[in-house]
Amino acid sequence: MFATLSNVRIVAVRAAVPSQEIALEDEVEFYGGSLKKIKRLQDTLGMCKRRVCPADVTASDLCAHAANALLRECREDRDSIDCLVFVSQMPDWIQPATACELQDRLHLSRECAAFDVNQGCAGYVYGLWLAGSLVASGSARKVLLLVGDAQSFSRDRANRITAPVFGDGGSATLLTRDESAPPLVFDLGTDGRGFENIILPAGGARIPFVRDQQRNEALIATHCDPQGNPWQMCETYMDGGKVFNFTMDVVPPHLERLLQRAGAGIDDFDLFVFHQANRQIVTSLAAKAGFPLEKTPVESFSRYGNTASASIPIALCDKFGSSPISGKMLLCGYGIGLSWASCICRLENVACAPVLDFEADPERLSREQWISRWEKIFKGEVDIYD
Amino acid sequence: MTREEFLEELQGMLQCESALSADTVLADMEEWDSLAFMVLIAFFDKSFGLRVTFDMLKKCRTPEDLISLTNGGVA
Repeated sequence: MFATLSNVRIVAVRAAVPSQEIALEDEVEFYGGSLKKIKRLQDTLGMCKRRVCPADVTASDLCAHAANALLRECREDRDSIDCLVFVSQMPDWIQPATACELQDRLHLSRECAAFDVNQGCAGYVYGLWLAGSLVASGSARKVLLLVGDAQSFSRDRANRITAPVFGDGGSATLLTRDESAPPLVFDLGTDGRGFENIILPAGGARIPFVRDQQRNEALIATHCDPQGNPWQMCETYMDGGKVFNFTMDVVPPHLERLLQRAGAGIDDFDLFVFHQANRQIVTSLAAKAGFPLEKTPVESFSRYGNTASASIPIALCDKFGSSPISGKMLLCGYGIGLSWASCICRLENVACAPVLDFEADPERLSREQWISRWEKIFKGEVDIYD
Repeated sequence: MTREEFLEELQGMLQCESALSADTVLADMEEWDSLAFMVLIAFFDKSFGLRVTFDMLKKCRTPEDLISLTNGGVA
């Protein structure tokens, strides 16, 4: 679908990543000791490093860190935020929406609407479209959009399809009502036939975790593919070849359609910011769409890995650092769903900062402490909010 | 593109040390993997304007089969 939103200004963006870095060279054991294979991955995909969260840190923690920095540095009144949207594939809780706890953690007003959206690699542009729609319609004046993913904890490092590709990252973007803002132009689409091409099969209602220990065994049993990669139903599965085929088939005509409907020419743009799936995919897409490579950033994949929904804001913060973001941009996300979403926007002095290193909140409970908290709640030994 | 040029390009894309002939068995090479497929898909698109898929490449046994995929783009 095609949409043009007016009166929406993107005010500020921040991104945060965990400080622990894993380099491909650290994992030569998973390539049978072959440094040559590692060099091929570096040369062709640009795969070099990724950031991974410690056991007790989640996507919401990274996003909260980015949001606190944004609100503090832009001197935003926390009471003025009308709506909080958290876009992630890995919320802290199945119920309630993680955005609800974030409203409290970020000290936002109780008059603030808060909800989660389940979207992945197209999630940042989806979030801009959704948050922008709320602002454009007059439903909300100021929306804080938190977008991020952190799933390294759930991956088997021996799985070479997923583990080395994906890094953890979070972001915060502030959108506000402004009658003088240039329009945001979107095109979004879905092909649900490919819903199993990237999927976390177990843990939802279709294949739930249940009280029956024996049935849960099947969900955590490991099965290896012909290349020896271990898979479990409680981890994200991906068929890389199918996803690559989809990307090359769907994204270039989608971009052509968007440019045509928006009446925009390739020369009008200062920057083409693709979801950083890997360098090969981004450069292939840019070549196919006719976008000049010097205007298409690819470096942040090599620094941070594929950070799913957070990769576009991370690429922006990585590129602009402390300089305000200005210029005509095309932002393009594609992946799990299968979903795709792109936005043409003229950004004007968007407050930016270099990608932030996450610092743990010492008040935050560890996973073990959460588990023991729940054991105590059940036994009536701890009071919860009243 | 000539056959010799194609084989040289292929060797460069696969980053393999020994020269390839038209009847080299691809499956015997450790470099014949999904990484190679991704690079080849981009190469087919750029050099011949052709859209090939992972499955089409998987079915190729030798560089000769890859040449056939070019629909006369390699002579």
